[in-house]
Amino acid sequence: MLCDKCKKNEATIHVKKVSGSKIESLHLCAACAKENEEQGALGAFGFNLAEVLFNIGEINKQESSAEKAASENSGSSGEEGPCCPVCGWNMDNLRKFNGRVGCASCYETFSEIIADALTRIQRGKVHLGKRPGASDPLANTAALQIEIERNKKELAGFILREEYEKAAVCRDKIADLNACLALLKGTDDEQ
Amino acid sequence: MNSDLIQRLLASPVSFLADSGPDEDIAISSRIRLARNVRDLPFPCAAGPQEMEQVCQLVRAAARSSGTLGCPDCLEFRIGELSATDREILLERRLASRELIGNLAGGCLLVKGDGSCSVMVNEEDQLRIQVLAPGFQLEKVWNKINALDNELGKELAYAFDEQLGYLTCCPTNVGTGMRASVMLHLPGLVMTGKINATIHGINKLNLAVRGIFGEGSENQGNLFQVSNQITLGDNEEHIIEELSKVIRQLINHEKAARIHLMEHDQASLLDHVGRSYGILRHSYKLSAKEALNCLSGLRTGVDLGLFNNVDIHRVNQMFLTIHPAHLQKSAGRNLSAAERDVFRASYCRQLLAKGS
Ligand SMILES: [Zn+2]
Ligand SMILES: [Zn+2]
Repeated sequence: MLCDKCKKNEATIHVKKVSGSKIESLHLCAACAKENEEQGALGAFGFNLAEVLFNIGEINKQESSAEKAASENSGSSGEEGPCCPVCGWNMDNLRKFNGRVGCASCYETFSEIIADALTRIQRGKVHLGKRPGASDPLANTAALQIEIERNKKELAGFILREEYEKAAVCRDKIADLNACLALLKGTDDEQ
Repeated sequence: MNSDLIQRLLASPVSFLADSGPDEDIAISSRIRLARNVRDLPFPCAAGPQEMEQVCQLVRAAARSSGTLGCPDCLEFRIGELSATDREILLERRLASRELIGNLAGGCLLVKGDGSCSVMVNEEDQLRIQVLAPGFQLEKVWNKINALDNELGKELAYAFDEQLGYLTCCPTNVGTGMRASVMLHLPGLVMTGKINATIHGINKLNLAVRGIFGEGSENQGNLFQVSNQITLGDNEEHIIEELSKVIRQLINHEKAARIHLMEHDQASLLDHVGRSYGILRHSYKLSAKEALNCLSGLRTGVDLGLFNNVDIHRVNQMFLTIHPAHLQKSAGRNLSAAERDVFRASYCRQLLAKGS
């Protein structure tokens, strides 16, 4: 089956969307899927992003290992990449289980690939919600500061690209975060 | 032992469908789930039976000593000890997920007597804490599940990272580990052909919409679930507030669509409602798909005030009780697919003949 978008490459990514009483299918090649994803089009399609993120990774990897195999005849697959010292999870497991990891330590083992996935699917890189022990949900000022810095960089990018709507949203977010921070510091000072 | 518990469950009404809640004409129920794991034990996908049993013991002990879930009077199910029909009962009642009932080796379920709170053990994550309530009331559900999570958290050492928050089996849940959702009945948007555009718009807001029935194929019963996707980079209250705003808009869109139909295409609307009632009241063979679509029509009629002898909560419960496992329980035996259609029709006839 050929890619719906470029009509040239073989489609390797198949996405189904259920909307109301209709099913829409999208068949893309890896290159077009990546492009679509970067434009946020796949995210809007509403399906398991982890699956597609790692799916794309797999295809890129297959391509590069195919190139490698052409130059030198290396043997088995799955042995490359990180492996969790605690639970033994490796890249093969990660793919087979749709991006799931095996234990808490896997988050260190696969920190790179997970960080990459998180930037695609999440709003930020730092947890701002509740914490064990029912303490103040925003007790970690360091986390807030990291988040503010990250947003400032993003804001600069938006302004540079003249994306003013996004910039306005980002500016509001920074104001919110600063207000949180001020609140926390205020309570710190009182103590 | 386990099947006695199922009987206890069946004897009590499904509170999230049977009780009144805010905006219940369109919002059927609100649900929040929290994904949690215990430090130093592998996630279920990487765990053996012994490790899963260990998690099970830890969670049961935590539930008992904290007294949450009403333990020791809570219901405890071991998935592997249940019959296939009993497992489906848990699924149809939305107490267990497909993933949980598939884990015969280590799946476990703790349920508060009234079914409002539960903990799935060894689902995708070690714990999936769940609170369900009728109507549209995510804030109340959040307060409830937050307290429940705090209680369990006093007894269990959760896997938590300073930067990433609660560590979950799938990185898509990391951070708050929270999925909040509302089940909505949207016949007006479906009939006016606006549902696709609406879903597309909601997806752009980082929220997910899916049909409740219809196995990923076509929508049945016009029931949709809207939920948050973001779990990292924002706090629970704000995520819930954002989701609630969209749900509020969606409820208003649905109301507008119904008014539009009443004003511009009343005959089609009334015909749909009337035929739905007629089929439920008078048919002798009824597939699940047809029943769901007719129940949607009946519910629309009840909302419009066309049936004063049918209670909306009875219709809500029928959305659940017309499914195979519940039908077989009320029949008291296993039924083939063809037998089920006959039994389902007679079940609906009887319920509607009774009136309220
Ligand atoms: Zn292409
Ligand atoms: Zn691991």
